[in-house]
Amino acid sequence: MGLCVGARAVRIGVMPLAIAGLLGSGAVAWADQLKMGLLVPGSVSEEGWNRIGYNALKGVEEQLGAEVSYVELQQNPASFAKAFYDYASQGYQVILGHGFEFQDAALEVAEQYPDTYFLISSSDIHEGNVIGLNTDTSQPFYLMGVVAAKMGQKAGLVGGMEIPPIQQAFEGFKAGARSVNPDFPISEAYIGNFTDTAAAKEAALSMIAQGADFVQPNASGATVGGFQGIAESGKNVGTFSIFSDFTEVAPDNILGLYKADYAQGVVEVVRSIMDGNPPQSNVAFGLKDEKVMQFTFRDDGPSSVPEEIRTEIARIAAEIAAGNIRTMSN
Amino acid sequence: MTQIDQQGRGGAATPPPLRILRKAASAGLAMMRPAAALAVALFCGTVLLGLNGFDGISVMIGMVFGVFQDMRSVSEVLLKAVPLILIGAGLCVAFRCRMWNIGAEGQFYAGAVAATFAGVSVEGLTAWLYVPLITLAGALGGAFWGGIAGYLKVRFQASEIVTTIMLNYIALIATSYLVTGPMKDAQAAYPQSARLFREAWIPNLIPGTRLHVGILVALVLALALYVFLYRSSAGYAMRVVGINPFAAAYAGIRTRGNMVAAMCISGGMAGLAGAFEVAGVTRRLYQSISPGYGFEGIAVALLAGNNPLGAILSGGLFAVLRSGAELMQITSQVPQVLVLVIQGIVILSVVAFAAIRWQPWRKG
Repeated sequence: MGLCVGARAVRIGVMPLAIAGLLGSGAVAWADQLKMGLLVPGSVSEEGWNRIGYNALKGVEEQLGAEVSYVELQQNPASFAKAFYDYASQGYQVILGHGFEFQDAALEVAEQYPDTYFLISSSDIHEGNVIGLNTDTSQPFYLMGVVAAKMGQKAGLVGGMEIPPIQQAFEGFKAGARSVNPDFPISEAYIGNFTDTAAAKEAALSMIAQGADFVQPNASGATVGGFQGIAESGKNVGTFSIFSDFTEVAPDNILGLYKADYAQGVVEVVRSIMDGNPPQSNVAFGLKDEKVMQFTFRDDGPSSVPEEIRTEIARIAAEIAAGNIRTMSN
Repeated sequence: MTQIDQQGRGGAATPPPLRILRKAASAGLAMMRPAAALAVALFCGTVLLGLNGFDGISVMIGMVFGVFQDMRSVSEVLLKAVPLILIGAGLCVAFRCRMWNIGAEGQFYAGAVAATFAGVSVEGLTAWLYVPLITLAGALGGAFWGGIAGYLKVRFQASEIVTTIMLNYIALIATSYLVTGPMKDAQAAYPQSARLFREAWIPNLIPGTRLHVGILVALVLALALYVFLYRSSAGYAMRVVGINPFAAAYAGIRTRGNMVAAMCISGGMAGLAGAFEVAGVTRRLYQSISPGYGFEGIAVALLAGNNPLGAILSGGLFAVLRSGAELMQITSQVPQVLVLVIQGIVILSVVAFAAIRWQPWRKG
């Protein structure tokens, strides 16, 4: 009880200081210091989609000296607009909504804040100060599909929610696999969320039980569950580590690594905004942007991709970068 | 219909001034416990923040000041309070009738789905017709979903705790199916329904903010439910069923009808909250339309001591906490998981204090 009273006394004592602090920070908003906010749909402490957004924010902080802040929202659409308002009204000049689901809310808030830039991940939009940024994940997944069809008998895809970035990736995978063998069997399952690692693991295990020898999970935070299922099924199942390095989770199975340095892409976009040359259209990163997208093979694993397939992949990647191979139907 | 004296346990013999005094005192006491629960929870939260390397006290102060910073932040709190008050007040009715409705979340979804269906399918109505239509649709949807559990209870003695929890899953998964399938917006690839017709949108209360007139409806309905429970014979009958269904039956009160009605009322309130959320805030139906309002509503009702008027205050309080939790992240970069832990501590503390209060009542 004594402790309680003490804490209250301290709290009251600190209050004027806090008010002064709040007023102070309000004044800073008008200075030239770049402030960038980030909205992510889940927790940034897990490897996955949300961490990518966080890394972008950190990149802007380190490379451009911006003051940054982020907020984790639980896939709750009603809170999106509020978070945009909170940042915009506090003088943040650039706000990244990390996911297509933020687009509607950004458009709504952007009307009232014409000088603020709203960047939306996984979106093709370009309306005034709302700019879509996209990583064409179908391109690296096309390469994975080629590897799967050249090395295996059957492939399985474990997705999170059935939303465009995941669907497009899988579409790329299927297009790649079928460029090698039009009848290559591929099974596809969505677990319906991005958090249930157990469901991702179950889905991977059941695909392997049905004969899949290449399984590719793509479910943000739940992706790791897919890798766990693959790792438990022995050395004969191949997969690619995506977005982050999951080699430790499935050391016997991971053939290579697809890494998107989306962060660097975002840094470049924010830099161009700071320099007064904001993008005049939506931004799409692909294999052509070597700073952003890297596709590498692994050499220290028990099974690795043969040299002739690697050469073939390098050739196909160059074709995709040049725009000669389309990895998606549209 | 004869009016029954409902002044409560033996209060009729006390002279009026003393009775008012006693009422005020008991109301004061009733407010003390939630306040103590909140104080304990905030203190634990502050310590927890401190243990994680944050300046707990300034984070908490920043949160409170941020929430009441300006008109817009206050309006956001009120906006969050709408579903919490509606659901909380509705649950008070169910809990008073001893129907442990854990299914407000599912009833919220059922209402949201019904309102969306009404809001995207009928074209060419005026707002004067359309807004009442979709709010009614939402309330009926929720009442129907709650009524199922009520019917199963009186017909098969199926525990409403189990059935409402199961109905939650059915509603959630059905919603996911609808927005990825039949109700999905043809133009969008993301799972969401089409946008509601503009005439179906709940009118704004304060221009420039997102606050809609639903807050007024929530306040009026909470008051109405209080009057119903404590100033009408039907409400009295419902409470008697809750206290002792056998005595109620002996007294000629229709226990089964009252049980189903209590479920329908609380379900209808949750459904209405769902309709307001879709037509007043998001304008579309999403897979995750509720961030757990239905479950938080249970804590709202508990903190309110199952009194619909109290639900206004406790609903407002939980809205402040929810709003503050988001702000805590933005201004102090407290991780979401830690914010969730603090929210959990608040609810746990509230429930613990409510249990302390209930102990003598159970024995008595």
